[in-house]
Amino acid sequence: MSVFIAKRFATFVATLFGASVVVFLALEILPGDPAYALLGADADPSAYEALRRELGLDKPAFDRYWSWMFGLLKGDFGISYTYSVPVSELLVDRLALTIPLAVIAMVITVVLAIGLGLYAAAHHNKVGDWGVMVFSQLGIAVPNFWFGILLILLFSVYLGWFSSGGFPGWDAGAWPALKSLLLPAIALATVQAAILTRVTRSSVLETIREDYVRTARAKGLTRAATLWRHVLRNALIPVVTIMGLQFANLLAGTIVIENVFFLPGLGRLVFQAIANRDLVVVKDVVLLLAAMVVIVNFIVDLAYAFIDPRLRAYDV
Amino acid sequence: MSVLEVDHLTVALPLPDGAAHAVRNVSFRLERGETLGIVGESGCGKSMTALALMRLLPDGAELHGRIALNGRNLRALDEDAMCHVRGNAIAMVFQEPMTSLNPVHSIGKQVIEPLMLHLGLDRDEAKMETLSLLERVGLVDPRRFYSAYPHQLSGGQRQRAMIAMALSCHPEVLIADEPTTALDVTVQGQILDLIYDVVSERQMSLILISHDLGVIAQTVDRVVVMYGGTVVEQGATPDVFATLAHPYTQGLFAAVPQLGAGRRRLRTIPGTVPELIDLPKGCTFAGRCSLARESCHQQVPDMRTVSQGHTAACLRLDAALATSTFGLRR
Amino acid sequence: MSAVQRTSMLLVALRHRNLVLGGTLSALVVLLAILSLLWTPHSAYELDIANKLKPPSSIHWLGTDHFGRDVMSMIMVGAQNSLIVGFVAVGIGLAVGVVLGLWASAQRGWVEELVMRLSDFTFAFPAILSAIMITAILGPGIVNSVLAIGIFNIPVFARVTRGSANAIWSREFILAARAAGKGRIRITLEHVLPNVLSVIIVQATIFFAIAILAEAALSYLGLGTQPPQPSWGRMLNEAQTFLYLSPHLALFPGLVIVISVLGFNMLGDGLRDLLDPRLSRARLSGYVR
Repeated sequence: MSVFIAKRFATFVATLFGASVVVFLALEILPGDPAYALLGADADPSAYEALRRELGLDKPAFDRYWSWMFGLLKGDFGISYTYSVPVSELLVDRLALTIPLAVIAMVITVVLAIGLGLYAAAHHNKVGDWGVMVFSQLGIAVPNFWFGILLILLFSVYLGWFSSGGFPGWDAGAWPALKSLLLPAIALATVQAAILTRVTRSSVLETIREDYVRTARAKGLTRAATLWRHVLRNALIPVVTIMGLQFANLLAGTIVIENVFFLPGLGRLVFQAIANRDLVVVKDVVLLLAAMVVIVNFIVDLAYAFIDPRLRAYDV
Repeated sequence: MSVLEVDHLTVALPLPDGAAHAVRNVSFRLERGETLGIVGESGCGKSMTALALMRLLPDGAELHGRIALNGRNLRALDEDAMCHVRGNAIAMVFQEPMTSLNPVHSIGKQVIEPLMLHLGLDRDEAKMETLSLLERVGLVDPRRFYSAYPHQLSGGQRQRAMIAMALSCHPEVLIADEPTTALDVTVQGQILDLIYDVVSERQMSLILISHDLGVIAQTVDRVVVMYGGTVVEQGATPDVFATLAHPYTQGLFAAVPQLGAGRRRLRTIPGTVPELIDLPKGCTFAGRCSLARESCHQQVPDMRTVSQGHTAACLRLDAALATSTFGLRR
Repeated sequence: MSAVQRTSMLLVALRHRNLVLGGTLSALVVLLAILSLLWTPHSAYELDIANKLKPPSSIHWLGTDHFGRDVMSMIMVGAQNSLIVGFVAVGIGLAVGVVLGLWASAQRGWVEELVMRLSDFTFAFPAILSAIMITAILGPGIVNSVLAIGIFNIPVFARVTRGSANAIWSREFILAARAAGKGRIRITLEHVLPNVLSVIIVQATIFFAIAILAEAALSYLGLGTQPPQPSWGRMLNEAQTFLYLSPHLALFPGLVIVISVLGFNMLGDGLRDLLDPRLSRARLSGYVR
């Protein structure tokens, strides 16, 4: 078991490392000089030189990469070009929005998907199943940002229950802050839930046909007891794996959704930073996003081993 | 009163292309302490019959006929009541020990389940009972097996665990559906012996399903031969095997390769088993039977007496008895 | 056509609902795009400020936007846009991804490892993020967004192709071909490729749908097709500003996106059911044991 964890951890670290290299290299080929972007086109040539030296842009790539990495490990994320504040401050601010948003969206996704997936499997080939499948087909086809707009249309424009965007900040109170995250979370969750519902449904349907389910019934367990004790745990194994993969999609979705709802989160930050050529911010945020995905997948892998004892004995 | 009375059992399965009659008009009795063998090739409906007894048929299947356990009509029970019967009064052991055990639960956890469910034992009591059960089925060092997972056991060990599970609530009837088919040859004998020991020790009635004539011939009191979803012959084992009445039974016997019989061509029964959806009118075996006449193709044969307690469903019974259709030495 | 023929056609259609419905919807969108090359109700480009933000009427079937442009016409021309992006992006994915996958499967060893690690790796990066980065690096516009979407198609095609191809390589007739001295490239082209084709086709259809969604998202963010070329995603962005005044603007572009994506998704599902007979047989085997 510990070998399993150790191996997974090693992969985790390696992936993070690889991600950092890729991010760095990608931005290396970024055309456009940050010095130009900051000073404009009309400044004195020597000013560019000075700024470049100040930003450390005159050093070779290799050095810059390592000073970046060391900085990260020390907790020094550098200073943003555009905002002139430490990136770490920016990140904390933005994460305070994006993480709760992602978590709420994930919770909604899971509850919706497992609930609907189970329901559909239990009513296989009947109206209930068909309804859920239609919902999931639609959910996959609907762009999440359009759904967000529709939600705003319904709940903000017509019903007036919610504001059409913006984030009051946690200082304004937990409830107002959460309220502003609700519609965005639903917009994010629906598409993911549609996909996950299908996975859950087919996994449950497949598991029900397994021999050991027949054995459980032969022992005298009721349908409900069999479902709960024998089907669920086995059926959820592939679902949990997909959930982990979906987290990446969820984070990607926040980039768009935060723009729809004007939320000052991580997604919005990276988007603006890319547009502004704020390399410092871009590097850090992209790596952070990649790290979040990798961490979640790591946790999923561990959970996997917890659920399925077959993985524990061998170093898979 | 017999322990189990089965009358005119019929099972129809809804398939996209039509209804498949997996089991048609099957009747037999099981007495207390008796061992009954159901023999026939794959697809003849023997497993379906067993599942029907447990009322574990796939969704949408139609069940007709009468099933009575100690006189109690099992078909009249609602699902909850039937759950009380399963694993309790009637228990079943399945063919594939690899897949019949839940991979994410330990053996112990799976064996205590029926104990806690039917006998109302609490976890500790159930554990004690399970440990002695595991010991009884030959899993020496039961504590180790209690906390082990199915993938850590060999095929034979898993089957023993399945048997322990089936026995736990002292059922009256044990149904063993091809319990040794998926096991290594060396282990097969051990498992069969185990089943026999516990069955006679606890005075249970046993239904043993197999396609292996050898297994059947040696071990059961009475035998039921099935083909194409119907019973073609039944009777006491010595009677049936000495007087192979039905042409199909004769063919089945002749098809068994004889060791030391020299390099003779294997005898087979010509033709193939008909599709269950597309069953012919009349006797199911008529298409492959060398004795078949026009009437065989028109009329479903009724069960005719061969001798006391021995019946066969054949319109041409006399001819079948008289001639050794497949050149069998009797 | 006789009554019997009609009935049996209906039954076939019902059984393959995905295929039929998906095919119809997809065809609808394609026809719309082709039609727009020849005719649209009004110009999709001409400004007509006097008639801005009008609701649907008999003149402007779906209303007008904030510049007075006819929404219906814009949607039709936008279809051209989305379909082109879909085709080219999937084309890129196919061209590179399938080749990589076939190569990885044929060579095995380090090539396979490399290709697989690389494709695993890209899963850590949210696709939209990569697309945003690429379009930001190279600049917004339809060409770059096609490139970006195409690039993130590649790993999936590579994986799917490799997986399928591996299954083919282990089949006996391949062994026979190799024993006969046929080279790997020849075997790949003659035997492996035709057999993995069905899987690739299904994957391509589904990716087409994803490409349409991705293009819409990029356009919404301003990174995709640039004005004055109409784009469904950008229309939605512009519509958001006028949500209180003219909600219909937000409705129609979104609806047509859903129809297109739904159509191609269902087409892909339908094709999969058609080309993969294993599935229908599995349903049967559960009963007769």
